[in-house]
Amino acid sequence: MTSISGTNHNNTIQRCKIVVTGSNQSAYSILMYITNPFYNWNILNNEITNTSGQGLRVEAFGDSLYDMNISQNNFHDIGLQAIRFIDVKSHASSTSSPYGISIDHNIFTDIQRSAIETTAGMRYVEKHLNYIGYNTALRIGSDAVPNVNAFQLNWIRSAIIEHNYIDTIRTSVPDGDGIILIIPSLIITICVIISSSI
Amino acid sequence: MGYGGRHRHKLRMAPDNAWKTISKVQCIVLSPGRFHPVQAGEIWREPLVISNSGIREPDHIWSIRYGALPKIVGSGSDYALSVDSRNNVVVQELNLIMTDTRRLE
Repeated sequence: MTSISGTNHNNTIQRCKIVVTGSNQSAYSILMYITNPFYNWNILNNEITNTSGQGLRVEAFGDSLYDMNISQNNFHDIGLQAIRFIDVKSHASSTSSPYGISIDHNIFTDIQRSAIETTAGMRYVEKHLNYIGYNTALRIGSDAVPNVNAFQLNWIRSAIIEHNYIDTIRTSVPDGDGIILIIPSLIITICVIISSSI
Repeated sequence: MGYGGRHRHKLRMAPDNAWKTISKVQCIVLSPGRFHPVQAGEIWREPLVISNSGIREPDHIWSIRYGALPKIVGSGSDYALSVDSRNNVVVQELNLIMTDTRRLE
């Protein structure tokens, strides 16, 4: 795995091929372990595979994560989620979610769980746009895995989601949605497709 | 990231100056705008640990653009690449491989 932790800013990983093989689901291609402010990060134009675990995993502990670009990467043949943001506190709050996050122009193919999954959410901060656009997701999920959605977006606020192409989502039981937005505290589940092709 | 004239000059100089072992990265003090070459097509069976931050402007760990990407194989360790509390670093054009995916945390 590629391990990134501590206070980090102004860093870039680009044009790398990151390959993880084996049967361990807890091995990640890239792990970002965030216990201090973490900003101005770029993950650009990489090829990322992981036969059993997650591609990019971001673990946030309520500290600031902002201005991160995940662009033009090729995620393929991944055993769990391709991109997963989690807040390891009991729940994401209005002041702990990342902001200025852009996930754009990526390709996701043959992903066993969601292509993008966040329980950490995203929040509004002026001049720090949250954007999920121009991604292509093909062959997401598996007949053996329940509740797979291509983009599982919890606690997403003030994000533009547009021009994503999603095709062929498989799951053993629903949801099986292309894009799902969930706000758990309100017990409202919304399935919304915004300018996307499913 | 731009690659200006002084950077292109260093690209030409790279083959003779390429590191023979990746462990050198762990002790070198990164300096502003300096490129640190990694030889293309080679395999290191040791993790790459970025142990210093660049200063002010991004520093570079990079590979020569000709031939196969250099491979860093992290088997038997926690990671192939670690960037722990470091800033102003660009890691590019490396083939990072983990073949022994045991849980180590």
